[in-house]
Amino acid sequence: MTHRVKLPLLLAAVIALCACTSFVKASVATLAAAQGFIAQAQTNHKAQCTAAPTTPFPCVMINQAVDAQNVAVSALETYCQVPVAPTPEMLSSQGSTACNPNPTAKQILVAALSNLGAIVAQYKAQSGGQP
Amino acid sequence: MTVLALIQLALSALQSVAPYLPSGGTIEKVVSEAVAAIGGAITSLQNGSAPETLAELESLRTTKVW
Repeated sequence: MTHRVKLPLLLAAVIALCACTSFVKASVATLAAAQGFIAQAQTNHKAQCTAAPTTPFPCVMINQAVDAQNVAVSALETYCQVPVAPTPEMLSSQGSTACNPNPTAKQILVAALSNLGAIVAQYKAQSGGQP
Repeated sequence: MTVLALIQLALSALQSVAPYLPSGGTIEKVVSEAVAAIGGAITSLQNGSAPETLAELESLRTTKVW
């Protein structure tokens, strides 16, 4: 292979690797933000929703966000090629396993994050932006 | 092999071909800029951008309260 062919391939590989790394970090940041929003919403509406958990807004929607959050975490674990939803024992023994991005699993993660974002956006639209 | 090791490998490859490129040419300029950029990326990775772990990902889960 000539240098003319090798160079673009090397650059593409480096860019792809950097993109994977930043994509994981962006996904973690998105999930951490949603986690904080959901936790605050649960605190704010605990009394109301414990008494009437089937109230569509905010009670059912908050639980939908919880489900979407956990689906997105599982999708990120799949993307990272680490055990998905590990048992406490597995987490204890394999908790330090590092993320190893698998680009072929990216679409599922993007869809899961998009679904979570849509639920949070819908919630904010109904709450005026408040958790 | 870690991402950092792969990037360092790519950097070595670029540095090894750099001396054989025509001096002052466009390719030489592109390669030297790429070497600088990759060097920056390596520094960034080495300065605390540790890869996410299973424990960190699991900590992002939430539970239902009601």
